[in-house]
Amino acid sequence: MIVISSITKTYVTPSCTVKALDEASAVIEDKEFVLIVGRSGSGKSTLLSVMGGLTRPSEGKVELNGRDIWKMDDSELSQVRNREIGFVFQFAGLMPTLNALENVMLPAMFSNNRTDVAKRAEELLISLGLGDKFTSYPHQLSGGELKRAAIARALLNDPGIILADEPTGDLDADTEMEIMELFREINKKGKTIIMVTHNPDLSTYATRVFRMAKGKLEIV
Amino acid sequence: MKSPINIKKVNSGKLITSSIRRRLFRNLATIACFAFVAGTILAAGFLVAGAQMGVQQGLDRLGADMIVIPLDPYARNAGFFMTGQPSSLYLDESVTNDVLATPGVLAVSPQAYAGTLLSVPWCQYSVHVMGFDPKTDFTIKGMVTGMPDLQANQVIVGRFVQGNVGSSIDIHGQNFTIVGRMAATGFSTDYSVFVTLEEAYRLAADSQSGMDPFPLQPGKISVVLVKADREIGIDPVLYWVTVMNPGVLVYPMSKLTWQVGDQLMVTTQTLYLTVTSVILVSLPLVALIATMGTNERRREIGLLRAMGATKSYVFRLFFTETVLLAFLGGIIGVVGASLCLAWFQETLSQSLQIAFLWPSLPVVLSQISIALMIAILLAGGAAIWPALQASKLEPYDAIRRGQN
Repeated sequence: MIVISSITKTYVTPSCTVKALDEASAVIEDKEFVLIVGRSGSGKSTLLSVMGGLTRPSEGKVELNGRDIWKMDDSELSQVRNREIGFVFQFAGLMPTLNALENVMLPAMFSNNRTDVAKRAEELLISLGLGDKFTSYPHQLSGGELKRAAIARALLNDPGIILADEPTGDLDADTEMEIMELFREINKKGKTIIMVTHNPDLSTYATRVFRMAKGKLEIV
Repeated sequence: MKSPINIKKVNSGKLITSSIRRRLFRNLATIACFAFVAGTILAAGFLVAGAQMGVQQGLDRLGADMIVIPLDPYARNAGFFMTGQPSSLYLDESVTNDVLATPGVLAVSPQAYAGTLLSVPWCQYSVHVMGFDPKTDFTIKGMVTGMPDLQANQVIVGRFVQGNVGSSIDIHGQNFTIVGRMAATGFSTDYSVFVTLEEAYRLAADSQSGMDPFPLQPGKISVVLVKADREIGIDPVLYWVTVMNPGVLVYPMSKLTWQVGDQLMVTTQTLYLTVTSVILVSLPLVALIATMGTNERRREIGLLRAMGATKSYVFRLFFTETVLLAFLGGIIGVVGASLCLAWFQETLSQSLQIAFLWPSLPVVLSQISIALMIAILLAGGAAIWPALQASKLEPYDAIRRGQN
């Protein structure tokens, strides 16, 4: 379960102060498929990064299974990101210097459990339809393949939560649907999925939808 | 489906090497920078150590404890042995017996600089013609294997003089048979020919009608090499020779080393100044390159952090990458400098006018270690700030800014 309480994130620049998140609160149960929709600049990606331990909030707390992740030290928080959360980003997908299989295996580098990593990575890629792309480098993969490889990587350490930041933002309609179906299947297998998107049409895939506007989070 | 390549795991080494390969040109430039630093440091160290060894070995082979030369504030005749700078200052031949009569002197042997042959077909350098007394000699015979009893029209040659033993060379229109070759000293003897004193006087007399007359006059000598009684001690003998032979300059061989050291000092200082300049220029340059690399790889940093990399891991990754480049560059520099020194050893020795011998293995290893260490320390110094900046980046911020 993820509980976010009164999250505020303020960016201070020399010319102005921007409140990206304004007292955002929510409770997300295990195995939910949550969609956070909103326009560009509404703060939804910032909220996702605060929930995932990637950006420290100015105020408020994020509890993951009862533990405030922002009270953890760097080592503990890194372990949470490694074992309990899988990330899928819009553009920043794969390491350009590694092939698909190596990219999928990458999270195991920071994990104590390194047995059968290659086998698991291969199985994940095969299950996501990339069985013939093990040695392909990111520049050799299509948009949909990149996304599927990123999903495989997010699943490698078998985390309970998948955080997806606009994962279909750069895809055509058919590929978008294909990727959303993948997320639905992953959710059905017991993973909590929290996805941010600017496309409200994807609401049909979610079990719950939040709307983000001017840093405020409200349930739809 | 089985993986077509045997990938068992991804580790930091894989990340570093793949990153180096991806930015090959820039990393090659960085490697070249470190190669230059390490190579320059090694070259400087080798030259100094090699020159010191050359001087020491040369002095050991001369076998003299001191030399007696004409009184001269610049002690030009002393420099002849080491630097090959000829001097036309002479002593009277009788000084030899005067010095021999001094208490504590075991042996003396005179030598005379006859003149210089600027261009001869049998040596690529200018050749000094020296006269010596085979009967009293204790220096030349130590440098020639199976030293023969030197006769008129016979010559002992230095290592740079071409021609085998038994062949002839022409000196001022007269044929001389090579009967021995001296071992390498790194001194002027390497490009000298030695004839008897009588032959030297005759050659000098005969040369007066030619284009390049020799300055040597009959009955004159340039130096008296002195062997002291070690039981008495070199310093007391030096004192007595000085006191009992006014009008000459007595020069200990140890001081000769210092003289060469002074000459080396200029070369050494120039080399170390170059090294310092190279380091001072390289430090900000490498730091700049490392910072550029960090900025370009923000997205990767963000991704690694999102996957569970700690700040310290990111720091180590970037730091190690730069140090690895330094190590590679250092190795290349060390090998390159060694090859260059080996190839140009004789040219360097000639152009710097210093004796140069390849340093001993322990010295070589210590110089290599120093060069590599400095290159790595330089890399460490230059990489700390960019690596710290990389580790401090907030993951989300790194990913977002890396996308732009």
